[in-house]
Amino acid sequence: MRHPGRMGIFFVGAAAVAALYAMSTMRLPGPEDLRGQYMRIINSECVAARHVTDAVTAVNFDYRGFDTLGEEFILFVSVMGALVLLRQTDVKPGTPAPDALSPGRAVGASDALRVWILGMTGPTVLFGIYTVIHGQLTPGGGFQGGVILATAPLLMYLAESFDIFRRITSHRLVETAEAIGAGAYGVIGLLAIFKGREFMTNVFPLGKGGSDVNLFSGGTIPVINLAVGIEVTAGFVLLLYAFLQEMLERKEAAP
Amino acid sequence: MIVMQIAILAIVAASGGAVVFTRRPGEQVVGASFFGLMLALMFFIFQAPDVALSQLVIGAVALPLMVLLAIAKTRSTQMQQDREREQQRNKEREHGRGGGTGGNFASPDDAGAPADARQPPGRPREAR
Repeated sequence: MRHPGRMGIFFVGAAAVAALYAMSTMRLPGPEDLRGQYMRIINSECVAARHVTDAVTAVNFDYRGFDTLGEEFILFVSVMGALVLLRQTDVKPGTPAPDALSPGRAVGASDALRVWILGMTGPTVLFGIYTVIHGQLTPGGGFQGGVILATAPLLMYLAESFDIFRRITSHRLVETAEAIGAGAYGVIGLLAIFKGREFMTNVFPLGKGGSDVNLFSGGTIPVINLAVGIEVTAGFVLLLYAFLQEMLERKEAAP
Repeated sequence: MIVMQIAILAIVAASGGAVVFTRRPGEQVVGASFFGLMLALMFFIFQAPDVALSQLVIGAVALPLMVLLAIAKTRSTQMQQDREREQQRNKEREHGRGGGTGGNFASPDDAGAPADARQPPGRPREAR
């Protein structure tokens, strides 16, 4: 496997790639003299036209909302695929966490870790909710906040056991939440059609604008963010559930 | 500002290289998590906080977790297969001792089995 000349050959190749890459990017314009107008138009328009202060969220969920709908369903379908592949079976309650590096050994959490997690779970949930609902005002949004929220049950699993994880995340509820989150995005897009506008048009009242923007500014943007937040949270919890269950089930089956 | 940009680019390059050159998957995951964290910091320094947040939660939390779970799953599957093979061997051995009709195709020290398959179950196996 290990050949003395192997690294030498790699470094020659890597040096060549680095040189070519440097040559090709040498003449690229800096961020100051970009010629594209899209960025400037969005930056100058979105506060006045959409009553949101985070231009990235405005692009993601309004101007290019249709693209994000596609992304959302990519996530939805991937979670579905993973759940179909990972078989569902029952696990005995009170199973401790297996050590990832040597699954034969069961590890319990130390007291220090449990106290730390106990203190950090509340702030994690709060920060996740904050990130989801402030998506149109500050950096963040449904995707980011959703993943943060999904780490809360995971923290519980790390501190306690899979049993606790299963008890605080009702499987049926999580599955329903994922479907509702994914469906709500499409339904919000369809509402515009019932009003005689194009699909995904921002038809909700925009709320306060200018320097008074608040949680309810932005029309459909905060609503879509909320739907995406629910969908991503539920999707990640389902993924974690399926993975942990599959792993523990294998361990349980062993004598 | 330009100093910070150059510094973070160098750190990202170094930690990315470190991930590639790490041999053991378990250690590689920790390295990859650190690499994800540094990427998030890089996005932040280059004034893309939205992307930085996504990178932070995906690259530093979700991806290492999934990789770690996948490693654990493959290892436990492997351990179970080893164990089943050993049980099979024991059964054949007993059968051979009792009736003697089954043929003696599984000798007590099966040369074909990997060395660590004979480890008693429950004992932690060395990370490879």
